[in-house]
Amino acid sequence: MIEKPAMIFLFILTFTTSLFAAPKCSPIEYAVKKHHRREYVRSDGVSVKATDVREHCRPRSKGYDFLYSRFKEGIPRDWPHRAEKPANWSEEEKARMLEALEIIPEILWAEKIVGLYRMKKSKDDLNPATSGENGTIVIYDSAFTSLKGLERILAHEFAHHNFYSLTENERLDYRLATGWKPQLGLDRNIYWSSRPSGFIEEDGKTSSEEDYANNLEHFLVNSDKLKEVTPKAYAWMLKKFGEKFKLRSSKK
Amino acid sequence: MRKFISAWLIFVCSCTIPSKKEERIITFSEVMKLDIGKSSEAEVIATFGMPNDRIDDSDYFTLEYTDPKTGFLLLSVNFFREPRLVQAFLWIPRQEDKEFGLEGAKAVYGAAQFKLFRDEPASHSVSETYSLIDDQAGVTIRFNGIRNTVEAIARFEGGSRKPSSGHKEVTSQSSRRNN
Repeated sequence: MIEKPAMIFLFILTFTTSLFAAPKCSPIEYAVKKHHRREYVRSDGVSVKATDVREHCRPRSKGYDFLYSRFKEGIPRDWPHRAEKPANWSEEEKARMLEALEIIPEILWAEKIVGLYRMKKSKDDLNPATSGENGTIVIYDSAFTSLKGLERILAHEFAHHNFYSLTENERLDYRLATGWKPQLGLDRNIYWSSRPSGFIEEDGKTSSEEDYANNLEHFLVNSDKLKEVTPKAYAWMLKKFGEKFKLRSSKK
Repeated sequence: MRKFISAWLIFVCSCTIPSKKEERIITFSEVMKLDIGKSSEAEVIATFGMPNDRIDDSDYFTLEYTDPKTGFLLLSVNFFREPRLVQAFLWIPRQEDKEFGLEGAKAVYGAAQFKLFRDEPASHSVSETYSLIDDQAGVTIRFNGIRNTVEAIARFEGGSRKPSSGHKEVTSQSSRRNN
């Protein structure tokens, strides 16, 4: 026979264990752990209030299958920015990433993206994320508080990977159509020199790849502005992606 | 009789109106024959025909040739302003060209002593673009290190000038990625 105090102890133990254990979800669901979600602003200007998210099961989506297998801890292999420090993905950040991913057109979810890493601060303070041609994306702290919106930041990184997946002819076509030219520098290196003006973001001048990522990002969220500032890039994007190619929540 | 004259006129006209000039396909083996510091503008035009574009700068001028099939820039040749001799050229291989593959391009310059340089990674993106440079032989091959495809090949007058700090030499300690 079990004594009464032992019975009470067992009851309390069972009760508390059930409180902290992950919920049992069906095979077509996944468990969202209890977490606090901070207030944030989406790229369409909608403010999402802070809340305490309860533990629950959610149906597995295509986005979940794409994203959750790619969350990685630590530093990407051969990462050149050695002063940058790694961080861990929180439950809240993973949920935010999934929400952001699901409004980006699926054609940009490149299979060649093999790792989504979480790091504290970019060597360039304001930079929210960096992409590597070897299939990595690094997301920094500032991505989650940026007024630009996480979905737009992620779309920009996916645009880099879209550039990496272009065929050589497509890359060349984009570069020549938007005024980039190969040139032999006095130092005997070959450079792609930029067109003199018409950049939707200043950092687009640094490389044709950054220019492509900026233009594709703007094509997704604000194509009218792209059409006005860089009409040749707009025409190229329109031909490649069509006019319905937008972030699902974005306003034209 | 009138019908015969009309038919004759049509025949004569069709013979005298020149057909659309067929554009030449330039090959890399022809381009390789250009002699840096020796080939003249006239020789270049005699070999490749009239350029698709000409760009004038204060110290030099450039003749540009495009691929008639794709319309993409294929060859640009820089000339000293005086005497009008080839200073350097830049070739953008087509996908079907042998030198479009890195090994094919390196094979063209079998005797070259290349040093490997990598584009300095930007804070926003880390591309896998590299350059093989032989300063003495005067050759640069810019290529993608993941696909091993060549973006461009340049020839210039050999010498001892060092490449810029914008490109980092890849040493055995910092070997090329994804090899």
